[in-house]
Amino acid sequence: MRRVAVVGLDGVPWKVVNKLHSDGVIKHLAELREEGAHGHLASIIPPFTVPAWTSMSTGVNPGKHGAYATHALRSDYSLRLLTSRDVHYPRVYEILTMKGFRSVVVNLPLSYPPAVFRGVMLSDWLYPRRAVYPPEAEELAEDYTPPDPLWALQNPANYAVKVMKGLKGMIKTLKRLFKEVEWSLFYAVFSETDFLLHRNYDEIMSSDGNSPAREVFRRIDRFIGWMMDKTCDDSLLLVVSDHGFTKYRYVVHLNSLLREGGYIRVKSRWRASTSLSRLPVPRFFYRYVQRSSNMRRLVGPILDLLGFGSASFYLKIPTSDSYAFAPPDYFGVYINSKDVFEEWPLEDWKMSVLRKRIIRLFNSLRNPKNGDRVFRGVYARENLFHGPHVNKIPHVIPIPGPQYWIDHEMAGDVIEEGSHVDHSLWGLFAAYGSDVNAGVKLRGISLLDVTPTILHYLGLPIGREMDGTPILDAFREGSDARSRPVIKADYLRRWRATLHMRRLRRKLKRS
Amino acid sequence: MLSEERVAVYISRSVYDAVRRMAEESGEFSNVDEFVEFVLREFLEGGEEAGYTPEEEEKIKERLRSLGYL
Repeated sequence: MRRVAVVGLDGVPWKVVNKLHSDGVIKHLAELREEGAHGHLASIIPPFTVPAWTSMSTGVNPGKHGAYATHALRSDYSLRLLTSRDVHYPRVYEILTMKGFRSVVVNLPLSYPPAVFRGVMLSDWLYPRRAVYPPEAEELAEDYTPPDPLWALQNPANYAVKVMKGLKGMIKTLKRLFKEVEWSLFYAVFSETDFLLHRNYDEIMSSDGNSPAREVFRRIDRFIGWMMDKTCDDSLLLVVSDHGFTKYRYVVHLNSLLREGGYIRVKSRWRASTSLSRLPVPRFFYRYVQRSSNMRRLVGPILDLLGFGSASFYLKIPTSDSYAFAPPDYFGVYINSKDVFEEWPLEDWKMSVLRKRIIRLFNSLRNPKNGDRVFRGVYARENLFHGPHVNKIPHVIPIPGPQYWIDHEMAGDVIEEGSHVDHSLWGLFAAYGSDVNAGVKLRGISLLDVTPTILHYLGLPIGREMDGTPILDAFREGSDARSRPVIKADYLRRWRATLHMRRLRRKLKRS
Repeated sequence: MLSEERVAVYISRSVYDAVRRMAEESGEFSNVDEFVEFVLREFLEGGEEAGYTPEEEEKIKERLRSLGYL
């Protein structure tokens, strides 16, 4: 029986792999690239962990699966955290469950708790507590602790050391699950790479030999080597990442730009984000801190030490008084109109007018330092996404140019200069196995293609609504996967029926 | 599964006809028995509830803040 193993390296682009390989830190991933098929994997908009992994594991864009951010915006402008039940399209392991296959899923963002699932699932870092499904599999997972970015706040100096401790337990567990559980799909995501690239990018990309952060990459690479050894005939190993990382020279504060354009009216008290959001902060203090990025950098770590979490200063946006706003965690701008929520003040026709103006404003933004155009494209949401959940996506999506990143802050100047490390739009893809077209460089591939590739390799139809297609060029000429026609099926209806049954059962249990 | 003993269950004709239509429309099942068995298995499996307490939600938000999402 065919099997597919997927190793997810959150946030890792080929650039990081190349650097670590040339410094002798890793070798197996480079071998895999030579002996397998590989390419740059286009992420999606937004290139954030939850929407990107959800798009990868469903094969559909956020307009169809509905997880555009980590949160859902409520009509009162507050944010509700998404749960695994907020994904509106079956993920690959759910499709396999419906077809009678079993899976092992470990730390896939927004996967826990499973709804339609047969196999073993270990909770991901976005679930508040460590959990194992089914509970009988607990013994197999006794060494597993999901990675936690808060370890960095508990002990910043030894963050990578703490990550390594958790990583060892995770790898030990993965090896046990790989060997002792019956599965057709093995899907494990290492989030440690993303956490470390956020905090230790320079250390990882420097040539100073070994460091605890680099040691984490070495350990994961050794696990990939182990997986390559275990990849036999009739099995496929995929190594994928949901987005990349890079260093930007400028950050564009979307809400500052909207405020300058007169679309945000600030009337309410000024507050800090983070845990301090419950405490009013005097306006003079805010003004003082927000004027200077150096001040923000100075005050941030102090607040960290006081236990208030990573401090990011911005002004609380009085959304109900504004024409438009960019909420935290959302890549884009909402117009305050009734097409999102009936309770929002602006009529639909006003939305159309405002949107044109805001797109014009964003398109005309130039960097005063060099005259560069800041955004390489500014789009209406329906030009990038399609599906039943498009109306919950921000109306305007600005795609920044190569030197620019965007955020939701409303601090100081619209364009702030300074080194900033964040996500980029290109992840990595590598395939390895006896059916793989060894040495081929794949072009034009997207993370939306990963689930169709898995299903097609396993001999199953791909979903009719899927936006991606199987990466047939990854397979050698004459192989079954390359020559077999791609078939489509409707998984959505059956999946909804299954969810309905499960809801009914829970209802009966409660009554 | 094929080796398992099968038993007969009697249901009303109208329900049977509706189920048969649904099984045919889905294109996934070769007969009504297969469809009913699938649905009942799903029903028995259940699944854990999703959703967070306010404390849990705050904990996850802290994690997201530490990565710059919030």
